Amino acid sequence: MKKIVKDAILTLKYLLITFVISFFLTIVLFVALSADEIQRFHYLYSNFIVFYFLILKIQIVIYALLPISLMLTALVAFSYASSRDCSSIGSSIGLILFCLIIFGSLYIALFQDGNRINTISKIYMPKLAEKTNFFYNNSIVTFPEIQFYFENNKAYYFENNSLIESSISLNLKKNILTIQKLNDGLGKDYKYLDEIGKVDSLLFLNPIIKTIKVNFEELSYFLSKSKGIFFLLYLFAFFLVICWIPYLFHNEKWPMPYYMLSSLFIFLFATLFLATFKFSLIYLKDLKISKLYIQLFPVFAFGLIFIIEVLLLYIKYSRKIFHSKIEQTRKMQMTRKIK
Amino acid sequence: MAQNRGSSFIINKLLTISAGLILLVFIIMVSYQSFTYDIESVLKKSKGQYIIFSSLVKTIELLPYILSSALILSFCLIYSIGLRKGKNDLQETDYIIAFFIFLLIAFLFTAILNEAVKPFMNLKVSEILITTKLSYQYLKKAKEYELQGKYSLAIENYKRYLTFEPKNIDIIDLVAELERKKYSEIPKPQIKTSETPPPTNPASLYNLAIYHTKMKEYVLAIYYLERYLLLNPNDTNAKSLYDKVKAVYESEVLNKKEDALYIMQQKRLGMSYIKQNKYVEAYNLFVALSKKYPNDKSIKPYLEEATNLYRKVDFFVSDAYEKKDYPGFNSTLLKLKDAKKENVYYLIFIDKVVYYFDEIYLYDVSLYNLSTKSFQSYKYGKKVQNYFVFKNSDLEHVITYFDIKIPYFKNFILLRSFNLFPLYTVFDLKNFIQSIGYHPSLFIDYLKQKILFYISFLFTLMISFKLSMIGMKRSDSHITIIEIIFFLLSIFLISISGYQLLFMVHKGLYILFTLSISPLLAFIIIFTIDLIIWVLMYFA
Repeated sequence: MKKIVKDAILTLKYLLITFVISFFLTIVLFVALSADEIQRFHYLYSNFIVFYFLILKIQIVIYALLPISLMLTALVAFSYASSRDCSSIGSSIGLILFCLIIFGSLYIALFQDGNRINTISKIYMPKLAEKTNFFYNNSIVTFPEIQFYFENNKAYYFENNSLIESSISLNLKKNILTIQKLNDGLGKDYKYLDEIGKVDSLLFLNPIIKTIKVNFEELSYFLSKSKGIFFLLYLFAFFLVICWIPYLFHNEKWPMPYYMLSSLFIFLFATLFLATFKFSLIYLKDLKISKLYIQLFPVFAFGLIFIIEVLLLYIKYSRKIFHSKIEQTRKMQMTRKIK
Repeated sequence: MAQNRGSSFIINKLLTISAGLILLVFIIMVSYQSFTYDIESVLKKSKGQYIIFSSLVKTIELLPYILSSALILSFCLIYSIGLRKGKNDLQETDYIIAFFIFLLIAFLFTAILNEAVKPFMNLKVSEILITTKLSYQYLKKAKEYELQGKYSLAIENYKRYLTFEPKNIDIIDLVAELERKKYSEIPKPQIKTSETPPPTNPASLYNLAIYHTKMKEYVLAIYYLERYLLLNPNDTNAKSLYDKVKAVYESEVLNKKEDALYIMQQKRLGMSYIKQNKYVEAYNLFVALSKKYPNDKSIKPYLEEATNLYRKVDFFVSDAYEKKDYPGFNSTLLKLKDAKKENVYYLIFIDKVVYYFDEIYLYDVSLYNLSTKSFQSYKYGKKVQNYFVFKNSDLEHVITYFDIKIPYFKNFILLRSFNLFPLYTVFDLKNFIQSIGYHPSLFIDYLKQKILFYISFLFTLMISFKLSMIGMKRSDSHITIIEIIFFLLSIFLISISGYQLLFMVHKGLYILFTLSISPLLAFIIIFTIDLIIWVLMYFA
C-alpha cells in the first residue's frame, strides 16, 4: 500500500513537471515559428506584446498546443515512471489525480461556459498603430521577377524603358504590399516582410502532414462551434490511451528503443484519433442515431482501444501486477547469487 | 592516462568515420552530377572541373547532416561493437572529451570550407557555366553563317569557339573544310595571253593622250602627247594640251609633297596624343586621316594602334552589339551615386548585363537622375577602368563615374545573391549593398544566416551527441545488428529534420529578440540560451 501511494505521488510529480515543461516548450516553439507573424502584429498594433499573440491565437493554444504537450507529458512522464519501477496501479492513481487537476481546472477555467474562450480572446483589444513604418524607403527591394525603388512611400520601376511612379498600399495583417499601377492598374500584391520558411527535410512527410492539418482544422472548427465539454472528453480518452504505451513497450525486446517506439505509436494514435473523428463526421451523420452518440463516437472508439490496452497490460504484468518485471528479475538474480 | 587513450581512440574512429562519410557523400554527388550532367550547360573541357566543384559545394552544404550522423554512427558503433565483443572498458568521460575535441575540429573544418572554399567554388562554377554559354553562342552563330554560305564569318566564329575548346577535332576539321570551300569560291585572276603592241599612228596616240588626261593619269598623257608631237610638231592644239597637262602634273607633284608633309605632321600629333594618354583624340585624328587618304597604307598601323588604345578608355558599338545575345544578368535596378558630383544619385535600370572575360557590357540602360529628375537612355554601356561609358552610337561618349567597388560588382553579377559572397567581403559588404541602393537589411540577413548557421550547427551536434549517449545507455549486450541499423536510421531521420527545425527556431527567436533589442545583443542572448540548454542537457 505504501508503495502504491509512493508511486502515485512520484507519477503525479513527473506528470505535473513534464506537463509544465512541455507546455512551455511547445508554446516557445510555436511563438518562435510564428515570429514573422508576431513581427507584423508588433508593427501593426501599438499596444502589442508577445503575450497577446497567445490570446489572439487562443484556439490554437487550446486545441493544438495543449494536446501536443499532453502527448509529450504522456510519453516522457510515463517512460520515466515505467523505468523507475513504478507499479501500474500506483501510476494509474497518479494519472487519475493528474487528470482531475488538469482537466478539472480546464473545465472550470475554459469550458464551463460555452463562450468563455471567445471572451478570453476578446481580452486583448488591438489598437492600430497611428503610423505604420515603411522600412524600404530610399532603397531597392527585389521581388520575384521585378525590382522596385521606394521613395516617399512611392514605388518606382522601369517598364518599356520608361520610369513609372506608382502609389503603394500596405496590408500588414496579410503581409501584402500592393503596387497600384501594375497589372493594368488593378494592382499587384507582393509579400512585404520575409516569412520564416519551411522545414525541407521533412518534406517527405508532406502528404501525411497535409491530411493531419485538414483533419485538425475540421476538428478545431467543430470544437469551437460545439460545447467545449466534447473537447475535454476527446482529450481525456486520447490521453488515457496514449499514456500507457511506454508501459506496454518497456522491458520488451523490440527493434527500436521503447521510447522511440512509444513516440511512434503515440503519433500513430493521434492520427488515428483525427481519422475516427472525421469518420464520425462524414459517415455516421446520415445514420438514424442521436447526434450525441455520433459526436461521442471517437470517445467510444478510444474507450475500446483502452480496454484492449488494459487487457494487454494485464497479460504483461499478469500475476505480479503489483510488482514490475524489473523488480521481479532483480529478486531472481539476488536469489541466484545467494544460492 | 587510460581516459586519454580511450578518448584518442574514440576521436580517431570518429574522424575516420566522418572522413569516410564525407568521401562517400562526395562520391555520390560526383556520380549524380556525372549522370545528370548536361552537355549544353558545360563544355567538354570543363566537365571534370565542373563536376568536382559543384559536387564539392553540395557536399559542403550537407556537412551539418554528415557530421551529426557521423557522430551518432561512430559513438553507437564503437559502443555496440565493444558490447558485442565484451570489451566495454571505455568510460563516459572518454566519450565526452572525444566529443568536445570533435566539436572544435568540426567547427573549424566547416567554417574553413564554408567561408574559404565554397565561395570560390561557386564563382568558378558560375564562370564555367557562363563561358560554356558564350562558346555555344559562337557555335550557334557559326552554324547559322555556314548555312547561309557566309564561310569567312562562319570560320571566324568557329575559331572563336575553338579558343574555348581547342581540342575539338570535329570543329578543327570543319574549319579546314570551310576554308577549302571559301578558297574555291574566290574567282581566279585572268591571265593576259598576249600583250597588244603600242600604237604607232598619230591619231590613236592623240586619242590615248586625251583619254589618259580625262582619267587624270597625267604621266601617261604626257608620254603619248610627246610621242604625238614628235610625229606632228606643228599641231598647236596638241602643244597647248601638252602645256596644260604638264602644268597640272607639276602642281600635283607639289601637292603630293605637301600632303606627305601634312600626313607626317598629323602622325606626330597623333603620337603625342597617345603619349599624353588622350586615346580618344588620337583615334579620332587617325580615323579622319585615313578617311582623307584612303590609299595611304602608312596610316593603317597608326590607326590600328589608336583603335586598340581607344578600346581601353571607350568601346565600339559594334563590340557591344556583338555580345548582346550572350548570357547575362537580366533586368537589374540600381541606385548609384555619382563619384564626381556631390549628392547626385541615379536610378538605373539595366535590361541586361553581360560579363565577358572581365569586361562588363550593359544593354538598354535607363538613367534617371534623382536630383534633377532628368531621364536619359542609352542602348549600350560598358565598364571601362573605373568608370562607365554609355552611348547610342560611336559618336557619343558619355562617361559617368559611379561610387561602387568594381570587384564586388563583378561578384554581384556572377553570384546573384549576397548570401554567396565570401566572408572576407563582410567589412565592405554593407557599404557595397548600400552603394548599389539595396536595402541594408540584406547585410544583416547575410550576417544572420552565417551566425545562426553556426549556432544551429553546434546545437545539432550537441543533440546528436546526447541522442547517441542515450542510445548507448539504453541498448544492452543482446542487441543485434538489425536493431542497431533500425536505431541508427531512426536517429538519423530525427537529426536531419532536427537541424532545419533548429535553424528555423533560431531564426524565429532572432526576429522576436530584434523587435526590442539590437541584433548583436540578440545573437548574444540566443547563444547564451543555447549554452544553458547544452549545460542542462549534460546534467539531465
